[in-house]
This record gives sequence, C-alpha cells and structure tokens, in this order.
Amino acid sequence: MHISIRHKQVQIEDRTFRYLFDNSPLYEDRKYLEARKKGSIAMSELVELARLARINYALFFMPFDSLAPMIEKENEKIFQGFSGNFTISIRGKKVNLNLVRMVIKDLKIKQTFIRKYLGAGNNPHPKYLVNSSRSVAEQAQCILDKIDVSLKDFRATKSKPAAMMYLIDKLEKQNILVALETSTNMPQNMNRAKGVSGVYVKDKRFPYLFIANEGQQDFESGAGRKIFTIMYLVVCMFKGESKMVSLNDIAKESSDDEIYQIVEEMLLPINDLPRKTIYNLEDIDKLSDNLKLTGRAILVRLKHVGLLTDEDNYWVLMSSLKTRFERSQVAQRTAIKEGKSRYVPNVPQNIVAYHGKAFVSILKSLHSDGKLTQRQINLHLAYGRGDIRTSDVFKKV
Amino acid sequence: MERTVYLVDNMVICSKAIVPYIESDFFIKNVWIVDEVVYEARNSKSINSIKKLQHHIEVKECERLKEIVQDCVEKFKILKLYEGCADAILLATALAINDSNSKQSELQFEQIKPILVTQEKGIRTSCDELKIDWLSQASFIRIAKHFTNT
Repeated sequence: MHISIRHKQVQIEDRTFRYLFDNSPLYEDRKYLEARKKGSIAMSELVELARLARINYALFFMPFDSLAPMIEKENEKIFQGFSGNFTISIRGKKVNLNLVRMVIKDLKIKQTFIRKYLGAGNNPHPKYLVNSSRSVAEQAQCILDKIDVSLKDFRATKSKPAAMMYLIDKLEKQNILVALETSTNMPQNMNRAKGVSGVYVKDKRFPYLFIANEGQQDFESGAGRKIFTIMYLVVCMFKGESKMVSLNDIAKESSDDEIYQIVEEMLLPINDLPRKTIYNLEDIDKLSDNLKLTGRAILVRLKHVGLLTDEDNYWVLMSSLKTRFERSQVAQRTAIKEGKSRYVPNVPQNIVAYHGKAFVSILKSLHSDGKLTQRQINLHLAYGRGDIRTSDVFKKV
Repeated sequence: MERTVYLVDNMVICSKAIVPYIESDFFIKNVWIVDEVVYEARNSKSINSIKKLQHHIEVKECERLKEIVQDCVEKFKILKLYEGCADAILLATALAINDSNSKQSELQFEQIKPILVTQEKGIRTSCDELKIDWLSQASFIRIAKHFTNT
C-alpha cells in the first residue's frame, strides 16, 4: 500500500491499512474500498478518512505484527465484562461479539465522552440487586420504583412505540442510556447480527442499552418486542449481568431464568391478566394492545402463571402468532426488494433514536457553547457520512 | 550557517502567552506548526495566525514516523489509540530535519536545528531519548520576546 505526498510515495503495510479500516465504522466506505483496490491513497485523503473513522493515523505506519496484538489488547479492555472471549453464549447458542463489535465500541466511546463532560457520580442502579435474596415480585417492584416507571402511565400511552419512548425517557432520566438500531447513520451495518435482540453495555455512570431492530426498517416497528428487550436488559443491569440477549431463545425456555421471570413480573403481573378456560387470538390481540407487549410475550406469561393450561390452546395460538409475524416479515422484505416499501427514513429522528436524547442533548449544549464544531458534531452523530443538518437533529431533543 | 526552527506543540501554541508574538517576523521565519497541531488547534482563536505557520508533512517525515511509532505507543506512551498523533508527528519532523542536516553537511548548505517546544513531560523524555533538543514554554517566550523587541 502506498501513501502519496506531493508526487512522492511512502510504503505502508497493506495488512495494517486494511485491519484499521476493517475494524472501523468506515469498513464499507467507498473511498476506503477504492484506495484498497488501487493500492494507494493520498496522504490528505488518508488523514481525512482516519479522522472520520476515529483512527489515530500515525498507526498506519506501524508494522501489522506489532499493531494487531495492541489493538486486540485494547479491545479486550473495551469488551471486558462480557462473558467469554468475544463470544457470548445465550443458552447454548453462540453469538459472536464481532457482529456487534463496532456498535459496542461506539457506545463505549460515547460513555467515555459523556463521563468527560458530565460530572455525575456513579449510577446507583447497576448491580443493585446482584445476589439479592428478595422474591421475584419484590425485585420487579423494586426496579419499577427505582426507574420511576408507572405501569398505569406506561399502558395509558397511545401506542406501543409511545410506550417504548415512555420507558426510554424514564431510563434516560436515571442516566441509563438507550440506543435503538436504525436504518441510517449507524457505526456498522447489522445485517449479519441476526438473532441479537439487545446488548447491555455496562458502565459505572452511564450504562447503555442497545436494542437491535431485528430486520425492521423503522426503529418504531416491533415496539412490543423491543419493550420486552429493554426491560430484560434493565434487569440484567440491576442483576449485574453484562450480556447480549436474543429474545427468541429466552422465550423458548425461560421459566427457570430469573431475569426473564422478573421482567414478566414487572410488565405482566398476574392480577392484570384475565382468567379464562380458553383464550382466542382476539383476546391475545386485545391484551397485547392494552398491555403494550407482543401477543407472544402475553401468551408465554399466561402459560407461566398457570392461567392458560390447555396445551393445545397454547400451541394453536403460538403457531398463529408465529405465522402472522413471519408473514409480516416476508411482506416487508418483499416490499423492500421490489422497491415498494413506503418507509422513508427520517434521518434526524433516527440519529436521536440511536444516540439517545441524553447524548444528543449534551452535544447540543456543547455546540451552543462553541465547544464542538459542526464537523465534530457530524463525526459524532453521522460518522462523517454526508453532512447532517444539526439544527434538525437538535430540534428533536 | 545554522538556523533554528521551533516546532511548537498544541498546548504552547494555543496558550494566551503566545498571542503577542504569534504574528511577529520571528514566528513567521522560525516557527513551524505541523499539520496535526494545526488540526488540534482548530478551535483556537488564533487559528488563522497558526495556519500561516503550518508545515505540511512530507515523505521523509513519514519514513521517520514508521521507525518511531511503535516506541511512541509502547515506550514513550505519548501515542494513544483513539487520540491525536501530533506528538509523534512533531518527533518525526525533528528527526527528519536532523537527517537532512547530516546529508547536507559536506555541501555546507544552511543547517536547520530543530527545537521542540513543549510543556509535556512525556514528550521531553522522548526528545531526550531521540537526541532532540527541547524548550519549555517560558524559555521559548523569552527568546520570542528578545527577537521581537530587537
């Protein structure tokens, strides 16, 4: 690989060049791919790309054999607290952390940035219930109280997306930040991270919860599933378990999972569920609308608490819900493929959804104080991919 | 004939104490601000004056950077993975100037003596290791004051 400076060239290791960019948000950037193909890049362009990718450009001059172990060591530090060596086991299913590595790294960088500008003390919630001897119901109530969530207010919201935003607002007031995956302005493409519902990225002051979009285009779609994931990760945080979760896997065999039990207890206390001999799809849909969760979560809960005892009734309903969900997924994929999707991304809204209102508010105040330039804001919010209208983003917070 | 070039780091060039001298002939003739320092100083009120002193990176400096970058990370600890690289570039620039001096010595061209101006302990230690002269901000201002007054 050659770097050209005023008609002269300096050689660097190709492996170093690729390694640094492939592990950065710009791994699919057109200019990077072109340079890789050509085997050369102008110094000014390298510096510009490196700054956008948050790479210290002096590192391009390092031998690969020295650089790689150093970066790996740094990554270990960044990802410490996750069980296993970059691979998380979710009840037997292995999900490689590499698939969400850049998102986690990005959120870690955000946590460091916020710590620098906000003088908040330690967040009291992480590990608050670690090794707790309280009952599941007591722990559920304790968490709801701590994050100041009223089930009545939560359910009184006009829709599931509104209920999700209610929860996020409540969490952000406790300095628990929530990042929703969106279809634009992400540090990495999540297409390969199938099966991941969410990740809890621990931090003593500003824990981040990342909620995957699971194939949806709009971050507000599938809000019922996301609400459950958010609360699952909140419980993980209170219990001190830093992990990545896959909702499907949990739902299948969750009766002995204390975290799952606490989430069910928080969102679906037994007294709020109707007792019936046989439930039909209409009952489940109505409950789903009223309780702001998926029909599937309600069905599983009815079974767990012994209100739905008829196995046939359970499996027929589960199969109907599954078919309906799969059909909607297929319809969405087809619409995208055929260019018939009506979804038009709202970039400023997506940016706020991923970064979180709390983080964007900090940037807004630093920008108005003249401490961050437009370019730096662009780097933080859009990873340098095209200029964003800061004022449009800031209007959303 | 020997001429001194002062390679000034970000903290010093953005200091208020520098403001009275930054547009002086002494600065224009003798002070080099490397690209990365200019970038780091982009929010400084003096950025327009700083840009006039900008020294663009060249191939010979990149070659020197290749040699010292690993030490900058592991030994001198002045280069962090996710922070700027101005300190390493300053060292590489000083080393490249020294290389040019040794090549030119027999031809009796003008010799340039690089002096790094920094308040950072880590950079001063690195300079000592690499046999690069350095000055504190106070000493540099005394020199600037002297030449500006005369």
